[in-house]
Amino acid sequence: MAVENKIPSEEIVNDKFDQATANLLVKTGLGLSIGIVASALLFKRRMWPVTFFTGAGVGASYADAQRIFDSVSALGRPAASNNSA
Amino acid sequence: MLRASALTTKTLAVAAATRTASMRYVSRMPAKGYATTTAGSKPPASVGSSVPPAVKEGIRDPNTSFTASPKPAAKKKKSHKIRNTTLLALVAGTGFVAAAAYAQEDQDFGRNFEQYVPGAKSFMDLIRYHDDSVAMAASDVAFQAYDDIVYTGRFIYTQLYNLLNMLQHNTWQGSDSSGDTTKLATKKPKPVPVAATPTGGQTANEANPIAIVPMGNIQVAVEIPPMHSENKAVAALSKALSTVVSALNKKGLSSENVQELAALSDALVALDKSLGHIKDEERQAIEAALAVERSVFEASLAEFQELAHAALVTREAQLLEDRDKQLGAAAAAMDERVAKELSSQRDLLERRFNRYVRARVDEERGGRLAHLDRVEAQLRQLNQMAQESGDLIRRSRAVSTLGVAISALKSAAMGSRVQTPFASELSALASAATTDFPATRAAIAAIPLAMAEHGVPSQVELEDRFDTVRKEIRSVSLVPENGNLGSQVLSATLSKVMFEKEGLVEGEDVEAVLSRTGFYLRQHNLDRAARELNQLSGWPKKLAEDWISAARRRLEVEQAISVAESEEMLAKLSII
Repeated sequence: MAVENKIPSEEIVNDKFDQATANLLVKTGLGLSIGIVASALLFKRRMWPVTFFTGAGVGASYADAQRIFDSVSALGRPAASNNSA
Repeated sequence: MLRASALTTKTLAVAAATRTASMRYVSRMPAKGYATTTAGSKPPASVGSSVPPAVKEGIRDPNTSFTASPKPAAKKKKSHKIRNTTLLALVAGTGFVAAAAYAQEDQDFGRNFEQYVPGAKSFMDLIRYHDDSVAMAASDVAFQAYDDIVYTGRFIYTQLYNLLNMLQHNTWQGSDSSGDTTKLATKKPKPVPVAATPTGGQTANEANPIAIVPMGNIQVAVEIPPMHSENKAVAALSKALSTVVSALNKKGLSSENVQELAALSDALVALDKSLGHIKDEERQAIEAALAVERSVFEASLAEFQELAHAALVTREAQLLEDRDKQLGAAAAAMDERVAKELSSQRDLLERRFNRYVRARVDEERGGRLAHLDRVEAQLRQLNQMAQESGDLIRRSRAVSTLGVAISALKSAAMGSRVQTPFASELSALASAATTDFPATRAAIAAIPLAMAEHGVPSQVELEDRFDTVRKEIRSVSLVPENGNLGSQVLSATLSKVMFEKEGLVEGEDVEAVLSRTGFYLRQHNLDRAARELNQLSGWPKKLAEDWISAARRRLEVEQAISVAESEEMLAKLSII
C-alpha cells in the first residue's frame, strides 16, 4: 500500500495498463499451459482444449482488466446521475 | 498369371450377376460401379461381391463395368426451412421473454434492454400493468395474437365468400354473409376499417326501387326553421329541433308526425314568451332593492363625514399642544448651553489670570521658581523624546530583522530551481515575527512543518511536469465518467488523431482547458494555470490531481511570503 501512494497521479492510467497487460500475459500463458496439459493427458491430443483454456485465460484477464479500470473505484460514485429511463 | 485371369473372370461373372439381379441398385460404394477406379486403395469388402483385397496399381478395378443406367443425381439436401425458422422464432421468443424477466431484477440491464431492443418497452409496460407478472404478460400477448389471427382468418374468409357470391350470383349480399357481418360488427371493439359490404347492402336495397312496392309509403317532408330569441338556450333548442326535423325528413314522415312536430314548435314559442316575462319581473325587483340600498348608503356616508370632522378638530388641538411643549424644551436646552459656555470661558480666564499672576510673582522674585518649573517641563519633554526614539529604534530593528528573514525564506523556498527544504528559514521567520506582525504570524502558522521539511516544487519543475501531465490527460480526455476498459482503449487511440489546441482559446472541453493552462504557464502565471486546470472533471481531473496539489503548495508558500512582505512594507511606512 505504501508503494501505491508514490505513483504520481498522471501515471495511474499507464500503471493500470501495465497491470492489465501483465495480467493478460500471465493468465493467457497459464491457460495455454493448462490447455496443453489437459489436451495431452485427457483429451487425446485434440486442439479444442488448448483453445478453450487459452480463451478462458484471456476472458479472466479481461474481467480483471474491467475491475482494474473501474471508474467508480478510481473516481468515486458520480454525485448527480440523470434518470432518463 | 493364369490364376489371376481366372480370378478376374470369376469376379466379372459375379459382378454381372449382381448387376442383372437389380439394375437400379446402387451399391454402397458408387464409385466402384461406374467406370471409375480406386487406383491404389484397397477396396473394402462390399455387399454381394467377393473381391480379393490386393489390386495392382495402375490396373483397372475388376469390378468396374459400363452400364446404361444414368448416374444417380446427387441427393438434394433437404433444407428444413420451416423447421429452422420455427426453431429460430421459438429461441428468439424465449430469449426475449427471459430477457424481460431478467430485466425485472437488474435495472441497468432493463434500461439497456428497453432502449435498444424494438418492442421491449411496450412489453415491459405490459408486465408492469399486469403487476410484474411475466407469465400474465406473455399470456396476454398470446391471447391478443390469437384474437388477431382468428379475426384476420374470419375477415379473409368472409371477403372471399362475398367475392365468390359476386362471381356466382352477381350480388354482394349472400344469405350467410349478412349474419356474419353483424356478428363481426358486434364482436370487434377495436376501430378496424370495416368493409363496404354491410352498408353497401342496405344502399343497394334502397337504390333498387323496382324491387320495392310502388305506393308503399308517401314521403312527407316538413320544414321548421330555427327561431331567434333572446334566450340562448331556447335558440339552441330550436336549432336542434330544426336539425332533427331535417334528419327525419330524410327518413320519411307521416301526418301524425307532422302534427306532433307542429305542437312541439308551438310549445317552444310559449316557453320563450314565459321566459321573457320572468326576466322582466326579475329586473323590476332588482331595481327596487337597489334604491333601498342607495338610501342606506347615503345615510351612513353623512354620519362618517361628521365623525371625520370631529377627529380632525381634536388632532389639531393636540398638535398645537405638542408644538408649545417642544418650543419650551428647546428654549431650556439653549439656556443650558449658554450657561456651560460661560463657565468654560470663566475657567479659561481664570487660568490665564493665574499664569499672569505667577509670571509677575516670578518676575518679582527674580524668576527662579519659574526657572525651575521650566527646567522640569523640559526634562519631561526630553524623557518622552528619548522613549519615543527608543521605541522607534526597536521597531525599525524588528522590521529589518523581519525583512532579512523574509528574503532568506524567499530565496530558500522560491529561489532555487529544484525543490529544497526551508524549515530553518521558516523557524527564523517565525521567531522574527513578533506580536507586532500578527498577519505574518498567522500566515506562517498556516504552513505545515512537513511541507517546510520537504520543500515546495520550483516553477521550472512544475512547468516541466505539466508537459507530461498534459500528454497523459490528452490520452484520457475522451473517457466518460462511468467508462471502463473499452472506453480507456478507445480514448487512448482516438486522442492521438485529435488536434492539440494552443494559446488562450475559449471553451470548456479538455483540450481548451489544457491549452489555456499551458498559455498561463508560459507566462509563468502559476495561480491562473492552477485555477484553469482545476476546472477539469472526471478522469482528467484525477490525473491532474497531484500536479494541482503541488502547484497549490507552492502558491500557498508564495502567498504567505507576500503577506509577510506587505506587512513589513506597512511597518516601514509607519516608521517613516
